Amino acid sequence: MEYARGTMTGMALDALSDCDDETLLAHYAAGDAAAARLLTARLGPRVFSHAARLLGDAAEAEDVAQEAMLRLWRIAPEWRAGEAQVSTWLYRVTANLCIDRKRRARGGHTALDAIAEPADPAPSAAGQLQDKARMQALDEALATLPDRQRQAVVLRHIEGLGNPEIAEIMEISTEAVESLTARGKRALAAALAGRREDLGYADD
Amino acid sequence: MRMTRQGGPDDTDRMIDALLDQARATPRDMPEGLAARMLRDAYDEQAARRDAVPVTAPARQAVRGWRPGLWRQFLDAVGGYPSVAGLASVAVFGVFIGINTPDLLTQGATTLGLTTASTDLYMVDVASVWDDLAAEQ
Repeated sequence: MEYARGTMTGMALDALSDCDDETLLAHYAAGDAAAARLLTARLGPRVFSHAARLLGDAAEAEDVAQEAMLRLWRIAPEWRAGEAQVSTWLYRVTANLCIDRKRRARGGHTALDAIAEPADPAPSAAGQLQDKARMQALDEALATLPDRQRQAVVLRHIEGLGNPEIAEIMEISTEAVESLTARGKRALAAALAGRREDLGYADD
Repeated sequence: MRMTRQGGPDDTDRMIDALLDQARATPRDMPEGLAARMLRDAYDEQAARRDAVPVTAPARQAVRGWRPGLWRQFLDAVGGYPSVAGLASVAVFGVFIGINTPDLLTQGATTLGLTTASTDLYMVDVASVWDDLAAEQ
């Protein structure tokens, strides 16, 4: 494609794709273009998705995701092997960038204004419409949570990470993670309690 | 605390779990062009590092056994140029005292009993030596 500079440092793509993130990052730092492509394919979508869940705004999430990856490219030569997982580091950088942005935005108007409109409003089958409505309702409810609760709930229940890794990302104890996720879920329940019927969960 | 009646907190909890599961199962697609922009940054950073090749002081030392010169070592030892300025002022003042000993200094030393027959030898008025030399010519 456009970036066809490819496997210039010798290692075959197949062998590279078996490597863990940290090894790929070392290859990237050594000048391997294929490692950059694999890292982008592996980590880019996770970074973007996480930013979108934390911000509730796809355009802002796009900026944050690009910035978070840029920081990864820049730290690559100094990356100290074995200290932290690349994904853990990226989740932390992404969340911090999101929180910074929201703090700046709050100077002007409330965070509620930033709730995402559905990214793609194209109508389709009823089931898809309902899925979309459900995800939008979840995003709206997530937006009512304090930043740290929202981050903990998203990492635990949407990214599917374990409490020890979340504790490392958020730089708090696992007990604090449990407390944040529990409070976050209670707040979600409070925000969505009246919406079972219109989201189609009334006859479960 | 958990209730099982229709529409109670239990049902809401189940709904929240279902919503979160659905969110997990449907990861968001990256917007078009974002992956390409990330890659462009990655290649730019690689290219910038290739072009830069900085020669840092530790690198020079490692490669060629480079070590700082005597003046640099002296500067490091005394604490940089400000200290050198102080040292210079004190040295100039010392020379001034030596050549043009103020009366107050000799008087003070005498009063304090610091001058003796032997120290008088060091309290020579250098100017008189020049006078003697001039007289010989």
